Amino acid sequence: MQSLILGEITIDWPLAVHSFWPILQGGFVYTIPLAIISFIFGLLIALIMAICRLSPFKVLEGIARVYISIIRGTPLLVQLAIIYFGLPDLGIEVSPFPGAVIALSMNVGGYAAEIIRASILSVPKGQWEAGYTIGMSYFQVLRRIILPQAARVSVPPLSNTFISLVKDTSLASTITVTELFRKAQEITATSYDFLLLYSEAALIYWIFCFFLSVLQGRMEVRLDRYVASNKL
Amino acid sequence: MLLTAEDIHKSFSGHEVLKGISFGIHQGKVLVIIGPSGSGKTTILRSLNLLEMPEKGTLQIEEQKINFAQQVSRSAIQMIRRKSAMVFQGYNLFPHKTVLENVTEGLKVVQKMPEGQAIGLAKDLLGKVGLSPQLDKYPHQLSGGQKQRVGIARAVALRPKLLLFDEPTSALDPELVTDVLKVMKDLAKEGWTMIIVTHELKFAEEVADEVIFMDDGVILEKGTPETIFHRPQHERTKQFLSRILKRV
Repeated sequence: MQSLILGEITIDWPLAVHSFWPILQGGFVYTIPLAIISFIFGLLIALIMAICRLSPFKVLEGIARVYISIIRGTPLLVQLAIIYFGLPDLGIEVSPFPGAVIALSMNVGGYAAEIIRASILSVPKGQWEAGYTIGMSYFQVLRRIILPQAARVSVPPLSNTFISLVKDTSLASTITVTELFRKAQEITATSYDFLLLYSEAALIYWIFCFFLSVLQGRMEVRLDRYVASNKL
Repeated sequence: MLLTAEDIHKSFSGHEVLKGISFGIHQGKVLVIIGPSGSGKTTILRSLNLLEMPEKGTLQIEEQKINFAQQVSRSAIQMIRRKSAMVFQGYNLFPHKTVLENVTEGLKVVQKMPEGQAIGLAKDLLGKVGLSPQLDKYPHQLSGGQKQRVGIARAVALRPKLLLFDEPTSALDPELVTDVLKVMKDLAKEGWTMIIVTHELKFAEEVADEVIFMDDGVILEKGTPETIFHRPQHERTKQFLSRILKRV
């Protein structure tokens, strides 16, 4: 018996088994690298934007505000489309994977900028003063004193950003990146078993995200070895 | 003069808290600033380390001079700032660094001292303030008195020309105050130049070479501890002293 009958639904077990590996492979080869690379570039953009937002120079602050507003005010799907389908009109051809990295990084940059800004502001002003009084420059204080303390505050919200990002990589399927979801889609094109294959895709996303939340918990414990309290 | 401040003015949102402050201090002397809260004594101290930027006046420490009425360059700020080090009322220790790292941070990062040498110097200093058993603890594991002694060691480690103390014992439980004051007395004996804002009058009388009484943004009078505490000239000084003494 190759099919199990569940009311009206039949589960095609051989297909389920055979399709699992290619879908998972799409996850390991594209989804995860795409998420990690975009997150790293995204955090870099976010840090720069957060510093600009906090800068006393109005021009820098304005640029960061506009950037964050545009990223947060437009759908990621549209951002992807502009980069992959739109830029060629200007003579700029971008391959699918780098195109997805660019769009996702810029997107993370916009969202994480506000998280980083808020976590920098959460560090007591006295920490800046203590850094300055031992002779440090702005960037020395920022890097050695403020950011390590801000990191602790920003782990939970940034983990959420990363988990969202992992799921958002599925949108890269629309620009032909053969990541996890696109793999499932390709198999449905011949098997028409939508419920099964998309459920498999969902299961794999869920497993990935489950691991990430476990990782997040560990990181929070590690960063908790000191108490970032500056109360008298 | 090691430090000369002249005609320092500073306002916060239109309210003038320093209305032309001038004073100086010689190498190796201890200057204590007293006065009611809101008199501007903390603001003048913070101005010496440029944690506040006055709008007017000049500040000279050794050969470095700043005129606040003009645009002050970043490098000039750094040069003046590195002449002095501040001990804060709220300690402001780095919570993510151990006691030892709090003290070595400035040595390694700012003064580029080799790691081993920085650790050696920090251990010496922390030993002198009685914190040898606490080297690897984090600030939240310390008592207030211990935190403030780390704060002092952190400032002293940089071997600045001038130590600034902003009400260093105000946040402490009374029984922890003596330890911190003892460390400060030892520093004074060793010949450190110190400017101290404090309400500890008995300590001030013991340790100060000169006392300044500030009220409402001006220096109302200055003199030896003997004159200020026992023969004050101004009515305001008398009132202030009697109020503080009654409290104790």
